Amino acid sequence: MRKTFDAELLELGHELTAMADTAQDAIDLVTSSLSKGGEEGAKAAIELTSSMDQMERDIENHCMSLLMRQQPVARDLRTISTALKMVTDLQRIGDQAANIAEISLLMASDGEKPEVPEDLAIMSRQAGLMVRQAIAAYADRDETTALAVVNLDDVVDELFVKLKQDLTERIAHQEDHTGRAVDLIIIAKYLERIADHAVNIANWAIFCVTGQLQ
Amino acid sequence: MDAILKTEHLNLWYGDNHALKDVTLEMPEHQVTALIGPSGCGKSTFLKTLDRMNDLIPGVRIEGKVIYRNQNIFDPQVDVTWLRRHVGMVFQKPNPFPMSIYDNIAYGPRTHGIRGKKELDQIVEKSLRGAAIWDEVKDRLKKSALSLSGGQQQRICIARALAVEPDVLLMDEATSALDPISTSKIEDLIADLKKTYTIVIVTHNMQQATRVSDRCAFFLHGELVESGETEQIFSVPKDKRTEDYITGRFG
Ligand SMILES: Nc1ncnc2c1ncn2[C@@H]1O[C@H](COP(=O)(O)OP(=O)(O)OP(=O)(O)O)[C@@H](O)[C@H]1O
Ligand SMILES: [Mg+2]
Repeated sequence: MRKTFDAELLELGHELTAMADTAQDAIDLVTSSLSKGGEEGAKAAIELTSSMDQMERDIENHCMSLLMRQQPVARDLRTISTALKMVTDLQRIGDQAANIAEISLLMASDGEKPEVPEDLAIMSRQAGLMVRQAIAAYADRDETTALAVVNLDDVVDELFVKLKQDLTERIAHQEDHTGRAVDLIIIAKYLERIADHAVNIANWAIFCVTGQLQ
Repeated sequence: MDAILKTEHLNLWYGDNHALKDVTLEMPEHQVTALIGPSGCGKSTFLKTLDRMNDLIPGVRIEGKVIYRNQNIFDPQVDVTWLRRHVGMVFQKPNPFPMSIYDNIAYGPRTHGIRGKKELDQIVEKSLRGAAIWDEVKDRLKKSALSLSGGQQQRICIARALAVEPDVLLMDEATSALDPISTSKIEDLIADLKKTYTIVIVTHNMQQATRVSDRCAFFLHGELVESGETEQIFSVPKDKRTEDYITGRFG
């Protein structure tokens, strides 16, 4: 039984990794589509995030069934209960990515092709990477990587503050179309929320390994 | 946390076989302590020692202390009958005496000199109620205890243990031969009994240990590896051997 159970726990890690990869792809896609303009990239990103709904349900069902059949304790219990928490964070990340895609669709329909600030592109890559690494830390039971993700949160927060200042200044000096700058600030805020969820996931990964809640 | 029963550096040998190795464990009052560990690790030996049921086995040697209410039970002045009256034992296989249900329960009190019918009637009813079997047997107290089902027999044995009004109840795999319904009845009973008694159980069923016990002690090869609150043991065990055992990674 132990062998079967171990294989299923491994499988659970794969399922979460696949969902995190999808989230990261959606984030990358939506940010790169911003500067390209057009609707294609944003639509593809929305499709990716809606495919995460099914992944969420599958993972939840898998967890429920393992709880019922294996009646896990100790580290096994943590592995499954944290999966249930993390899948919710992943789902929220998908929602935020979809929100960004919606904004970028609106921009595209206005025929806008905004110049994406370098910092926003960095934030986006950073956030996507944090999501992937947080889940990898869980799947590999790797506390060090999880801690690194937790510490990256400050970097993203700083980027957000800086970006907000830059964009507010642009609005003040009327260097930019006000509506567009506000949209970019909102997008940055969503990315910052994504990073927060990645940090939640990393904290769950730490709990899974150590049994200590941060 | 008041330990009504505790062992200090308890060692036991069956001949050359060192079956208990320096076991120091406290069993606090009105709590359920569960002893867990693989077959042959010494759980039954430990439990029996608490009731002095193996110090007369040839070749057995015991060192260290078992302290019941501040009294080392191996002190020469301790009377074993007195001890067993306060520390009762329920075994894995129900072992009712081949006599009526009533006489099974009245047996202990009678040996302690209680003769009056009224008093015995009261004790029998109270004990059977305490063991949650009164309603099932009240109309057939004169019938043989052996006519009952396994689960009922086990509760008769619990009632028999309760009849002498012990402080501590020791149960060695008391539900391992029972179906889920009888098991659940006895587990409810344990939860109820701990208000009045202090209980020590041996179980191979990890779910049972998490359901009924307040504290848990994990034994391996005669050694007490880890003890503590059940929630802690089953969520974040300190010792890797404990974790391996409770998650079924052993061997
Ligand atoms: N009466 C006895 N004479 C000699 N050796 C014994 C006796 N009873 C137990 N032992 C030995 O002592 C060790 C511990 O046995 P014990 O019955 O206490 O284990 P246990 O943990 O209760 O196992 P189980 O889960 O199978 O009931 C074993 O090596 C066993 O062979
Ligand atoms: Mg035994």
